[in-house]
Amino acid sequence: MRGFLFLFLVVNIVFSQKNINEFELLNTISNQICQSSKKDFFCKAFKFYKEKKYDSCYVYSSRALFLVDSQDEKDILNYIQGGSALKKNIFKKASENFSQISDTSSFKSLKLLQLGVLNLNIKKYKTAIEYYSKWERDSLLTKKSLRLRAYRNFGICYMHIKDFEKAKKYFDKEFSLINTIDTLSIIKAKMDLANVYYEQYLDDEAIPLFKESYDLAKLFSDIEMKQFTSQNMAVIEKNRKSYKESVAYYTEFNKWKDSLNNRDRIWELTEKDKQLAVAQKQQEIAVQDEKLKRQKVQRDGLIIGASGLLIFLGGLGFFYKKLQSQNKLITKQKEALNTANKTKDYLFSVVSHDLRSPINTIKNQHVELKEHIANNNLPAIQEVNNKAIAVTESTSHLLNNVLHWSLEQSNQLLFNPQEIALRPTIEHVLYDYRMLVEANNIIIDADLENALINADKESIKIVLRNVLDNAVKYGGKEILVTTGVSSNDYAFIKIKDSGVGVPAEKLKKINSLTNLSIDKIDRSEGVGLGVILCHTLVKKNKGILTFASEPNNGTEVTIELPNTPV
Amino acid sequence: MNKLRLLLLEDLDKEANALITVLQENNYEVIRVRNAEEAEKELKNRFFDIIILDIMIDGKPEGIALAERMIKQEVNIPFLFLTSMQSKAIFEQAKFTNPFSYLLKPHNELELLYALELAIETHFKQENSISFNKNSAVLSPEFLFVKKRKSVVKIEVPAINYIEVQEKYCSLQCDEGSYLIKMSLKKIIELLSNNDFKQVHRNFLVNIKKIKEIYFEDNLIILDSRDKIPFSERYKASFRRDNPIFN
Repeated sequence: MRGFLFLFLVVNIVFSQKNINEFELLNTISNQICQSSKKDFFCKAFKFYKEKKYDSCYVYSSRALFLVDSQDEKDILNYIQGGSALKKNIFKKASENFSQISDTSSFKSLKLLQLGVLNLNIKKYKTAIEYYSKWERDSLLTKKSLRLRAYRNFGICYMHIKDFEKAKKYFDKEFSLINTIDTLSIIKAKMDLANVYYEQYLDDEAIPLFKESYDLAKLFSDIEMKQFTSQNMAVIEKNRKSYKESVAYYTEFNKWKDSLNNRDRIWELTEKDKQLAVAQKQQEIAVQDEKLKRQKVQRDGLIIGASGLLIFLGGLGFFYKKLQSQNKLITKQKEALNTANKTKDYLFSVVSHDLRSPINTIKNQHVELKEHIANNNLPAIQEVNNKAIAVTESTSHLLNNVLHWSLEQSNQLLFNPQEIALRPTIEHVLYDYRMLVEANNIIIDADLENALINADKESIKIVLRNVLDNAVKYGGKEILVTTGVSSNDYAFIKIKDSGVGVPAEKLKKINSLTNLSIDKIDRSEGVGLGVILCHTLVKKNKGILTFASEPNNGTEVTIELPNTPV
Repeated sequence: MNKLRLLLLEDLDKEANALITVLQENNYEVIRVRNAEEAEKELKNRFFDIIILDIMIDGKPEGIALAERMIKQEVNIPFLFLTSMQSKAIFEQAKFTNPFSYLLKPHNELELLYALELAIETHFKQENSISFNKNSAVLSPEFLFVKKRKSVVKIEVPAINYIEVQEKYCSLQCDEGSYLIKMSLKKIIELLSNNDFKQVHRNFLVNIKKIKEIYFEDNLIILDSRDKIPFSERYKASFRRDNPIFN
């Protein structure tokens, strides 16, 4: 019989929620009190009651009860506090509250109803019946819907005390009040009535009612009703031993139960689906985000890598360039060093070969002189002395060349090109040859036309001395020096001797020395430092040095230098 | 003609003596000093025509320092450096003492004498005159430097009779001879800035102290040296105004 009891409880709850209609009177009075006396607690308690905040209502109404002025106010407060207590199943307190409501109050019937519900709830069915009986005397004051609930509860009370007669009477009363449109109430009422019959084993009365309620429920939309009615039918058929029908009803019952579950499950499933879809979407979004993030990281990495590579390449290029320039410098320095080394070697060989022999000669001459002095041989002394002077002269000349050469090579030679007069310069050089000419019985003729040249005087003098020395050494007895202007741009100095001349092959070599540096010269070829020095210095003065010779017809050296027109 | 007086700054006796011998043989008067201090004392006492400076005195480049001081004090005397220094650094330092002429050791007699000529030329900014052409001269406000054989002598400016333009040159006539200067007459007048020299013709500048007779009508001036100078109309008026004595 579980199914039936379950249904009663549901009805009980529905009743307590539906007593709002009676409340209108109470409501009006409360509003009046609230507006006229401005009682804070009262207003709040009432407000909370209306809003069904029963906890707050209970607290405020108990506070308000300490401050009550009028009977109405007290009755209302007791009513709402009782109602709240009832809601919270504090039945003892609720009972106290309702009892304190005065019998003279305008909602006495409400009080009785509440007490009835209360007692029904605490299973004091007889007390409940007392209250309902008291209420029934003035039941016409109560609204139809409340009356319907009240009759029903009345009926339930009688059912509990197994007074089926009375129960049927009240259920019939209830049934008579039900509006024909209210199918749900009809089904419930019919089920209640059927229950009453069934409990009394009046199967013939009960079964058609159950069947009726079942048929109604079948047409009605409420699945719960369908479930209950089919369950009832199944139980009835089982009790009638018509198991086949019972099974059919159970099947139906299960179907409705399932469909109810299904409904819940479908809803749950769709919810779940929704959640799943959302979750999937979120996951997709997360994946997409992750992808984007990864792409960004990848891109950033690429950019960083590329720029790093660029920087690295730039650095590499820079260092490479630096290294290259360093290498260039090193190569240059190496070349310079090579030249310097060759020059040094050359100078050493000059010192060791060309310097040793004249020094030996001078030493021997001195020994000779000593002998002649011992013999008092004056003419011989003079002769040896002259020779000694000549050797010393040529040696000193060689030394000068070495000095000038090394100065020139190390870029320390004074070089100060300016306008100089040609004739005095040559005269000055020739002046130094007076002694030599005298000693060697040589004639030097000079036919000098004066000209202004742009040159460094000292370097020109060095060249002239070298050429003249050579002429004196190899050139025979007559030397002619001439100067003049050869063109607008050049003045010339020609030094011609009457010596044996230079072989053509050697001449070619000498003339080709213009562009040679010292490291390219083979000492064994007999080309001396003097010629190279001459070439270098003339070139430095932007001049031209040429050697011309015919065998046995002497050599002619021409020095051409930039001319400044006077 | 007068000898030139030289101041020689040289710390080494042997070299100094050799130089003095050569210079005196060539008609120069030489006063030798051993250091810059003595040199400056001498410069205050006497007038010198040329100063010969050895660069290194007692191991220091005092010669250059002295030259720099002289330039600062505007001592208007030509000088030349005498040096065995073939070092560039010293040379460059000496070069800044403009006008600059130098003589490298060892040198022969000719080179020394030539260097003196150059020193005078460069000092009076008349390069390539006496060193280039023996008939040339170097003109200063007080003296005329001319070549006499291998040496240079000076003639006092008042000894010049007249100056005549000859093409690119000007010929300076003295009793001792005539000398060429490569300079315009206008420049010479500026250089001399001497009131005794009056222009009487486009091409003639006459030393009025040497005038013997003037024939205004004949446009002729006769000098003590019997030279006949043409007198141009253009210059007569100003000549008369400035020299009333001749009227």
